[in-house]
Amino acid sequence: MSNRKLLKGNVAFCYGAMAAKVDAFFGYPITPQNEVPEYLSVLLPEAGKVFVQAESEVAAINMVYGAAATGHRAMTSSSSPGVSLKQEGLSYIATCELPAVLINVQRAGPGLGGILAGQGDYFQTVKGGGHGDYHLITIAPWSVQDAYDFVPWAFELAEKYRNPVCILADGVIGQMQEAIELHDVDVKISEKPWAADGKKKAEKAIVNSLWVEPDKLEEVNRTLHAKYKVAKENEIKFEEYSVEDADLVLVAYGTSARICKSVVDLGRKQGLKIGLLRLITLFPFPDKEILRLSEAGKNFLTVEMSMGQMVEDVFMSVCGKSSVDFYGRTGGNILTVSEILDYAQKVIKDPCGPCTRSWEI
Amino acid sequence: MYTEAVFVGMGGQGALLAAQILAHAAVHEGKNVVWYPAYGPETRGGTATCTLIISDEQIGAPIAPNPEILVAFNQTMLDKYIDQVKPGGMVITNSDLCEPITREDLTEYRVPASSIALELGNPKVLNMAMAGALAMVAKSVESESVNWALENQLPEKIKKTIPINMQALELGKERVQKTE
Repeated sequence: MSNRKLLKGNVAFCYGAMAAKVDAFFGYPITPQNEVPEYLSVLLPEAGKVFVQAESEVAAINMVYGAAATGHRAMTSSSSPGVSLKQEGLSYIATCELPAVLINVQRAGPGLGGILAGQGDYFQTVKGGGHGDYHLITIAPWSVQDAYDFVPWAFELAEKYRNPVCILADGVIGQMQEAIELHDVDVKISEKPWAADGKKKAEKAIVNSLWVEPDKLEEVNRTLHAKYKVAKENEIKFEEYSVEDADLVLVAYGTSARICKSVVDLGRKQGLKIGLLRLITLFPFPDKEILRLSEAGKNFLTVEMSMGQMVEDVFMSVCGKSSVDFYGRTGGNILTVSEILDYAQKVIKDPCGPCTRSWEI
Repeated sequence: MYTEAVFVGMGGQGALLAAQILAHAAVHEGKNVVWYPAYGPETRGGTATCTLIISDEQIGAPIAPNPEILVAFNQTMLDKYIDQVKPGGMVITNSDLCEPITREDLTEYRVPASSIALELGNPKVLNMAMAGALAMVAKSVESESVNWALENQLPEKIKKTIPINMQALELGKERVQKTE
């Protein structure tokens, strides 16, 4: 009990980074993730590691690119508009097959938007974001404990697949405080024979993302996608809550999923057969699991703090076999338990029907 | 045990810190806790709002737009938030700065928090009198745990105020009164 601590999500990310033995952090301030660079600016130098407040988000992600290329554990964090600025660098890092970690404490968009929580960066994060055919492996914390645990996990995935990993959080996860266990983490740092670290090697280590020869570049694309296929077979994570006998399954991630858990508890008390599928990995996406549930006769209600983004992946996963309804709030308005429950009651009685793009109505 | 409260006050009244001390106390008791501040463009002298949830179970929604309990430090914030309290819920007010409430479905508790603080010789400890009132009414944390939190979680530079904070806590518990 005594090693439980009350910590802010953003601070837990920092302890997670220290537990993951991060070598270097490069960042630029933006609300609501400012505690991440603030705390790491103390913790990293104390541990003899590197902290740099860059001159911009573009500079920060390119510093991550450089540090990762030399085989160091490098990360950055930002919030939505800042993450947009990092997209070019992320595309290069993915193409060069370098491991790196990005934390996005999402705020409400689009544009400069607002500083309150949002989930409008789903498409940007899981579909690529920058130019070209690549994906970020994306994991979504829903508690301060996850904020701590997911950083070492993110680096493990990043090194295993030699691909950038995004921890997709939001302003609520970043700003709230919860009791967490700062348990020891068994850190597995992989060998990096590919690192351009100046050491003499049998094969010259070259980090490059320019391939002018079409067949060679197509091979790079195929290599990336072969990795994503392996990740899909091995890394998908989700939690089912009261799904077994549910007629309607809420699908959500992060803060929305936490709120949906309360919706399920309250709905069950009122006799509604509802459950929750909380997604932990957003890329790779658990399409087979969602198809299995739809074949078992369940309808879905996707709940996001967006105008409807993840719902498209849920819609594709059911292959027209069941209804996928949608409920969302934006602008920094946080979903409420009662409004979701009201909407769930409505769609239980009157689902949108298979093959209906509910979020466009 | 499940307590869901929203603390509202003006910046500088210590509403956020009071809720945070209770949160630390609950963590010390092995309970689950969420403390979530309204992090808008807040300024000194502006408004201060936070959510505190304490539970024996895993906590779902980390926000409480319609809280069961409102802890109001002054009239302005009481007026601003009272309509959001869950029907049949509870309001704890600083009786030195708040008029009696008019919503009839709510249970009202009043505590002279500002007077308690002045009596103890430090106007800043009104927040712990409010915290004491909540601890008394909601029975979510024991005094011993709050005292532990004060001893272990206050910043070093204000450690000398621990005894007076503890007194404010106890007086808040003693003097909180249900409006009949």
